[in-house]
Amino acid sequence: MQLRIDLPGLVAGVLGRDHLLVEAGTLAEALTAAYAAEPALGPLLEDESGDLREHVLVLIRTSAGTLNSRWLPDHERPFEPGESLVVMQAVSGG
Amino acid sequence: MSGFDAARFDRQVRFGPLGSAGQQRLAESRVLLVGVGALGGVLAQNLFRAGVGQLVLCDRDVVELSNLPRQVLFEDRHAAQGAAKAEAAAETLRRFGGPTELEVHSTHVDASNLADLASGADLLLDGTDNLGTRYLLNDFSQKMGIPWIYGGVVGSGGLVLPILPGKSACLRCIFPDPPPPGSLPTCDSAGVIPPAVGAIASIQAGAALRILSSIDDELAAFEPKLLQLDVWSGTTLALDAPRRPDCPACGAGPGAGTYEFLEAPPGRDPVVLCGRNTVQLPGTGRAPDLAAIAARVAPFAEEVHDLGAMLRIRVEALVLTLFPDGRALIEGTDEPDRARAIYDRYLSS
Repeated sequence: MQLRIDLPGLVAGVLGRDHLLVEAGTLAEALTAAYAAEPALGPLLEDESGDLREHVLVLIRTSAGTLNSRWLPDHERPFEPGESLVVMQAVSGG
Repeated sequence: MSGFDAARFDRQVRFGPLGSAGQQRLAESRVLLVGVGALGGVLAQNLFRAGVGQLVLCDRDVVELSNLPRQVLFEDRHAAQGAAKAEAAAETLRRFGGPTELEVHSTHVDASNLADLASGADLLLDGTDNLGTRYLLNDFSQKMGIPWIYGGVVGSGGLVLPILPGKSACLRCIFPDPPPPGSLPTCDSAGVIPPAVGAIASIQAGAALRILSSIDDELAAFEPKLLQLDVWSGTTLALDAPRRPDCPACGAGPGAGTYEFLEAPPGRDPVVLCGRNTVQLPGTGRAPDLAAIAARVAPFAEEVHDLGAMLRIRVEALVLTLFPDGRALIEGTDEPDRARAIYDRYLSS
């Protein structure tokens, strides 16, 4: 299914666009497709070992609310129609 | 008998969820505000005008010209003087009038002084500009059971998370560990626009008034969310924020409750203030003789300003600010060794 991934403002500023559209059935597939479409995105979201960076959240917008991918046992949960992804990152400025 | 000026606070008391009882609780409350710059200035203004009983203002920095567009408590003359932010903020707030008592600390908040600064506080408010202090506040909040409200802003947006210990997610439930220093854009590196500051701080302030004015039963209905807001795109996103059982700070698993940021010894090394071209040198614990230092450096310095509680010296194309606790800011360099050398040359006894 086609999935929309919304990017935070500062990542959007680096990539020159504020969202991606990818074909994916699971979160793992969505991230793989997103990194293929935007090679600069991978290093912004993941560390060298492939784990999400400490300050990054990947959120799944579902009909029942927003799921934090950190709280899922793995990235294999199948998407439901209408769901989308949002990337969020910690903010240190003040 | 009412403990607040009913005429002054008439309009907010008419707001049903606050009411007279809530206003009375505000009047009896004490809040620690760490950082009084951008977010902190808006927070201080809101809480002061709302009639919070006691507000403890802490900031380690001095006012600069580039602060003025978004740091609402400062004026041109504060920047020209290089005034201490906490003192300048208090001066502005006092001009507003009102019943709030202010306690002012021009100091760097760390594990060595946080318990004293937060003594008696009902709420900790985040007006800081770095994640290190926020993880410290989070540990202290969880250990002492005092609510705190995280806020961060950069560019055109930011995040807010009210944290109720024992009830809602803490910072480490969401972001288990801080990223390495320099990983995140700051207001100095990525810029920030004033409406973003106002929006984020206002949401923090709203949550603060709710927490301070509520009794336990009322607070039970409050379910804090992690809120992302962007004033440029006009978008918001609210994330349900349940506690994580394996959270290192507030969880119940092995290793939880160790408060590693609170228990780490405070650093004695110079701190490069990110994006500020400034190095902070820690205090010695002894009050420097500012008058003697001013007299000693006068023959060598381009300018010496005795600001009462602090000294500001321009020398060797740098600006040195010496605080009553011995702490110093060396502006004009991001090299700790040079800053230390300059400190030793001009400011040490």
